[in-house]
Amino acid sequence: MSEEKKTEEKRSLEENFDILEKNLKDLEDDSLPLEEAFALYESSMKLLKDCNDEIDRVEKKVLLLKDNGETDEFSE
Amino acid sequence: MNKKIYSVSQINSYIWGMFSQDFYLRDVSIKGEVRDAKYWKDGTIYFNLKDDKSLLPCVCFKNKAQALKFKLEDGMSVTGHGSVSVYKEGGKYQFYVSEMEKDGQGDLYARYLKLKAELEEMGLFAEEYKQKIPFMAKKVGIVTAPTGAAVRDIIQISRRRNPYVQLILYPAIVQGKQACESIIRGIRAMDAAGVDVIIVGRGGGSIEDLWAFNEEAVARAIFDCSTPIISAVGHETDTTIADFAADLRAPTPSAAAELAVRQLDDITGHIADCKNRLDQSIKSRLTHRRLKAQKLSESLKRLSPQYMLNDKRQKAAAIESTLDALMDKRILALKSRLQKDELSLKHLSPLGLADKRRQRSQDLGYKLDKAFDRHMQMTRQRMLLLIERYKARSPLERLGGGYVYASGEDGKAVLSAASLKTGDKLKLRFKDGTVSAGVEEISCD
Repeated sequence: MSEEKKTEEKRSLEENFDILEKNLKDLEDDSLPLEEAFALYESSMKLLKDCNDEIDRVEKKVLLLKDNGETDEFSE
Repeated sequence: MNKKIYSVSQINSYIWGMFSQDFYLRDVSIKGEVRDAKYWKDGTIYFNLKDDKSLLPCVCFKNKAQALKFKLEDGMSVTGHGSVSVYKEGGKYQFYVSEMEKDGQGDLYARYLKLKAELEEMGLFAEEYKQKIPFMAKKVGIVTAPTGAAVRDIIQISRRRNPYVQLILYPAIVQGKQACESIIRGIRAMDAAGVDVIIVGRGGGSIEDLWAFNEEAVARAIFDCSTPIISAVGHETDTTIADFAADLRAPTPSAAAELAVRQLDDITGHIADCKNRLDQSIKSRLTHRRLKAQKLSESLKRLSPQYMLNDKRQKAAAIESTLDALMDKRILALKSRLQKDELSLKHLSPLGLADKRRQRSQDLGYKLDKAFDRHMQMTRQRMLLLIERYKARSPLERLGGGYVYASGEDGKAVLSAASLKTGDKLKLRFKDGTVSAGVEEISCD
């Protein structure tokens, strides 16, 4: 994966989790103004959705890679 | 000469018995060169051991053959351990091998150590070049043999942990002369195919079997690969050069699958947990603020003029009712004292004396009434007696038996017939009633 692809929208699951952890920490701090807390909450919820979307829940078959780069279905 | 004749099996059994009793042949180590090694379908190996003078038939049964770390090849110099016994059915003795070592194994090990030191010196194993294994790989490349336990274990464990991960297999040759090149091709093809992580490895075997993974070219291919590589060669105790060059070493192929494929439940669980905590934190924040607002509004109310007025009013009412109660109590006390005084006064006053007299006159009156009543009763009694006596004397008692009392119209008794005239009216009194009669004829005597 090239570095350019990692724009704001396309963060890895782990990066998203890190951000979520930080947001949670901020949210758990009582001194945070309510409006900011709401904004943080909303953006965190969006991140959570991204995390869920990132798990592409389609069962995959094992593929066989050939030397020319083509793939075949692998039968065990 | 009457010699006993034996059967073939009797003789073979006898010889077998002799071999079995021999202490030395029961546990012996024999060194020789391998000849005519034959692997049977069931796993048993038949071969001969020879030296420059002689040949010894050998057999290594399936259960022992499986434990061998190398494949027997002609010309190989080995040392076998086991027992020499008789194959009764074939009438030959042979070496039953239970363990075997290959001579000259030390050479390969020395080569391994030398290469390891060289590559380490060149920095191929340096920590700073290690790439991080992705948190959640969605495409996992596998470079290993397409058959055998290794690939099966990797696929099985990956599927169990997360069936949505795409597995791509490069069917590599992992043993023998072509292995080195095949593994390198596999790594490069996988790097080009754009997977998130690559597992390179094979199942367990002897140091010769695993040798491809100790080749410098393979180590360099691993080092040059831009995709993170997890090595998984043999068993936990087998460590190869490839393991040192890889970004992460897994002790077995199964362990490699666990390192490459994250448990899906962990991730979804983590997401759910984050959501809960987010919800909880914003909720508790809101609740906290709401409570604070409530408290403030209550404090404010307490400061309002309306509240203060009401409060004063309430206090005044309370004081008033206390005063009332006090007054009532006082009045009650006074009253009761007055009553007491009145009683004592009554005892001392002339009115008290009059009361006594009145009482006495009442008593007397009562006694008089009683005496009068008694007197009246006696009088009535006398009266009744008199009435009875008078009754006995009544003129009516003289009537009856034909005698009547005749009276005239004036009610006076008629004393003679001569005093009457015709047509006069007479009243005749019988004992039980009165009859009116008229005079029709008069005759005087």
